[in-house]
Amino acid sequence: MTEHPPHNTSWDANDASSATMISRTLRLGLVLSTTLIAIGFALGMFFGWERSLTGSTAAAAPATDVSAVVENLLTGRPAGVAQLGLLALMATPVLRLIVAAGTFAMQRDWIYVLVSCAVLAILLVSLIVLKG
Amino acid sequence: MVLAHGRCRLRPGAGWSDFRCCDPLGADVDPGASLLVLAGCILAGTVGALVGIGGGIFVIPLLTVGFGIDLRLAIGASVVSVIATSSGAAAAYVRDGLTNVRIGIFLELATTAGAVTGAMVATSVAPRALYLLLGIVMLVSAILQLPRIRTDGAPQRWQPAGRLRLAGRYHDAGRGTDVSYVARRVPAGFALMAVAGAVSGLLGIGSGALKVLALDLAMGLPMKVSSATSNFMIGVTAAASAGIYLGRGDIDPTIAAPVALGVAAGALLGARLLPRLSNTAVRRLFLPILVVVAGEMLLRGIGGEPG
Repeated sequence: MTEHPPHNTSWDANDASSATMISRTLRLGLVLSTTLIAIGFALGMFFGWERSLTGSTAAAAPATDVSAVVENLLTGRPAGVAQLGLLALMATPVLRLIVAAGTFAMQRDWIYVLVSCAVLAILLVSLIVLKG
Repeated sequence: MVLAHGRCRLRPGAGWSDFRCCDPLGADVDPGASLLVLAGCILAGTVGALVGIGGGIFVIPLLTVGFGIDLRLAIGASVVSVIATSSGAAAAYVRDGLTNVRIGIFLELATTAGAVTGAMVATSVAPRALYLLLGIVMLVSAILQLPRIRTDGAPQRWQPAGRLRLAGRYHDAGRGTDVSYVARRVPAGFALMAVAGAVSGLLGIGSGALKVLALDLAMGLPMKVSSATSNFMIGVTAAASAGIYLGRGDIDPTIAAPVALGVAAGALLGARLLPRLSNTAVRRLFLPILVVVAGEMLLRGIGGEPG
């Protein structure tokens, strides 16, 4: 609670537009993923999670990667729809980092472009290191 | 009832206490139990959004104790719940200017790097000792928090924010004034965040409580900014481990879907409440949760319970 905030006005205006973009990214990710999850959930409760709605007789794939989710979707299983939504939910924080890097670049705030990219790089490394 | 390879489903047993784990492939899941899980998770999402934690401390016991779900799948669902809380609440907090995006992303460097390191050394560290240590650290932090409860954003002396611009201003709707703040003790906060990240990597827990402590106690940010910024950050930490849980098959949609929906609804509710609460009120809510988390850690450290 300083008497005089240590920022100039253009800094605040830039930050406000950048905040709007980051906020919209999070909202979009949430709306998209929860809609898919809700559809999958409703279908799953009504018809059974692994019943194929298109009449496929192949066994349902336990989703451990993207291809299994695609398979469940193609065979018309409610679980596949929910899994797609869960994937979208998990991707949202990563997408938010990319958008943040973009807004920092538009502000020519190169330090924070670097910081955001470094966090993204560590995330990628974590996926590789922790899987192997 | 733990099954090594079988899948664990929500199914009705003889009575409420008898929802149990079973693994007939493709068996229908009991809709009543699913709806109960969803309803229970609304509260977890609301509280998580208010105090800046992922809600795993509510979701995991709800699933394991309440519905007899395998711990492995409960943790998988809790990772999903952390991301749902984070995205749901942070969308509002970033828009309202409560989340400090720069401070959040800067400290994500520490949490993600810590998480990778923690996961790499996970096999060579005794989890019980770590639980004990964490429990003690959190209890001490809770005691340190006590005299601070009433500090509703203590006046800060003006100081330069530095090149990293770890400073900001938010409009406090409860008080009707703008509050400016500058992050203090940045190296200490950064180090604590690295520890929080390492703990997530080592123990597979969200460590939102540690993040709030680093922001509030170490860096001296207003409590609402600490909670909102922690909320923003926990999604990235959880996303780092979500891929691994998915690969192991720990994220079962029959459990994760109702959890995600309930938590997301709760988080949206919490995000509407936080701007109107005072910093003191948020602290009052956070403190007992901190004590519960500390107690849980100590119990695991002493008893060596799984998970």
